Amino acid sequence: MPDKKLRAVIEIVAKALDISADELSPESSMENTPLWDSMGHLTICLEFERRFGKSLDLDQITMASSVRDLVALVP
Amino acid sequence: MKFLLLSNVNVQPLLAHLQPLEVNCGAYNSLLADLSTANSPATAADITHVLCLFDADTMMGDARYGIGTFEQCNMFLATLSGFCSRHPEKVVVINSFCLSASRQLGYADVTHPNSLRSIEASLNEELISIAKARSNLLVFDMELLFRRYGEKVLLSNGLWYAGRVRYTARMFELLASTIRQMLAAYTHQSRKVLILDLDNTLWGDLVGEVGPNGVTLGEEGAGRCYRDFQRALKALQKTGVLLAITSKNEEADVYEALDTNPMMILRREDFAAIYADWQPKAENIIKIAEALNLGTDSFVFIDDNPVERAAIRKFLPEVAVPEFPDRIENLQTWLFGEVMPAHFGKYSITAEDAAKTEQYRANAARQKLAASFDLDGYLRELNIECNIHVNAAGQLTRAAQMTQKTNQFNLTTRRYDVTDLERFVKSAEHAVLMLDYRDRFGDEGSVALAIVDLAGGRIDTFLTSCRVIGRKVETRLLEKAIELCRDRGLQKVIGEYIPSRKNKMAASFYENHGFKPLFKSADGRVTYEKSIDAR
Repeated sequence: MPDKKLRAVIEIVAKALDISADELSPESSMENTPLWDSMGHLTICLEFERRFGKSLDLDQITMASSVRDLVALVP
Repeated sequence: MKFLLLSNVNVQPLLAHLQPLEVNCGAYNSLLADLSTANSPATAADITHVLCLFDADTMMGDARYGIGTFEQCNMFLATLSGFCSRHPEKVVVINSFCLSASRQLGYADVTHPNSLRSIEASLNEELISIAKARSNLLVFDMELLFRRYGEKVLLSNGLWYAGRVRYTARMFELLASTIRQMLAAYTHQSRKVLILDLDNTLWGDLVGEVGPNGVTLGEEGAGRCYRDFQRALKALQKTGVLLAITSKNEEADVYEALDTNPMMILRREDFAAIYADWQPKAENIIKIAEALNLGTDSFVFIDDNPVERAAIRKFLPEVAVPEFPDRIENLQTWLFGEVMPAHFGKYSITAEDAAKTEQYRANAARQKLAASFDLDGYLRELNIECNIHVNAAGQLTRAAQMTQKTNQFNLTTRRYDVTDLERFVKSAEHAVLMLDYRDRFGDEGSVALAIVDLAGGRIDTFLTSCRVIGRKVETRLLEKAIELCRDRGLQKVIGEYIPSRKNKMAASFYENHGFKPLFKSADGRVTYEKSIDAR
């Protein structure tokens, strides 16, 4: 997993959930991250969109539920 | 200030963009319920602003597809109107109806009896008529955002089906800045003066080299870019913004271009001040501030030269200095789309706004006359006529503007908006006095304001526009205020002076008018009293 993309995604998730980047790893997901609920997930997708200028389609929004999944979507 | 955000879709992502405003989000789809129910969160006493951001497609429901009626939209409007009238103390901000571009009738939508276009237009007409009747309802035209950026950039289908989020990140940013800018415009926090450079800003090329009639300015090509920019500036000036020039040029060249170049839209009389010389522009801007009696924190500076822009940012950081567009063909859209909303937003425009430049120019002429007369002789020469209106409902927008904008000759600097003043006018306890001024040089409109608390025998607010300082109109207004107290049967009247950073010039006003200081508090606030002689 390229470091640069991982760092960017961790920053996005941290900002969207308003938590520290230190609390996140590639394995962080909706399952194991308390504030990553459905609203948090939408906020993450919006922040992703803003950062990369790329909007996510419905499948991507529904399927990508971890840091690792999001890294795969980074353009 | 505390905000409540209501919607019929998921707009929670907007909260982060509205920071540092204190905003709570209502429950999902609670818009209608919150506006209609007594004791809903929207009615809470600490909520000062209610933001209603609704999606018109969703509100239309099946009527969007030509099935059933759009009655729920009318019901919503009636609810909104009721809420605004029950809560005049709250400011309600709402977007206009803006349906997406999908039309099941296709080309027939224009003329069909169930045309979405005409339904949308009639709903907006109704919404606007409510806003005209309820001064606490502020409508912003959402369609303008879609025209400027397009639906593909602003609507997110993926997020919509994933979680009822209608908008993209870009749209949330735009909505937040629109709401901020409109609230700033509503409370008159906009800037007042636009300082312009000339060469390669108002026209192409250097007037010193190609001559007053050789500059690039005309109806074709690059010349038209500048000419249209001037047209836009003229329109901006009509909304009450003062234009001024600081340009490194020979003064004679500049005046010749302004007076004789047939392609100029802006002429000498369109500018409240003109400084064409070789002085640093920061110095000229300070001179303009003195001549107009306005603070440089109400100035915006436009110059194509990045060195000049950097110098102003450094020496006068309170002046707003927008970046100049890369391409001259974008000058006009840049002015309307970016400079105006960011710095010169207005929520309402009064007759005074349209005539502002004339007033400032007339003031310069009065100053010239003052140089040749003694004060009383000068005042006689002016043929001053004053008209004082008490509780004039039609002037409250201007009155609110005056309480918000007047800093120097303002005894108490209490800021009010239209809804506050409406309350004063309706109650028998308060009187709102406005003084209209005209003299041989022109009509200044309303220039002085007093709010008298008749129940308490107290002058709550007393202010005079700097344009008429030194012409003794404040004495006439004070006499009228005292007369109202006398008519009420009061034996004395209280006046206050609350010092601010800017109102030192008003400090001795009450003493000069026979008031006796009663007490002075630690923060410099002085309370005065004057006995009223019975008549």
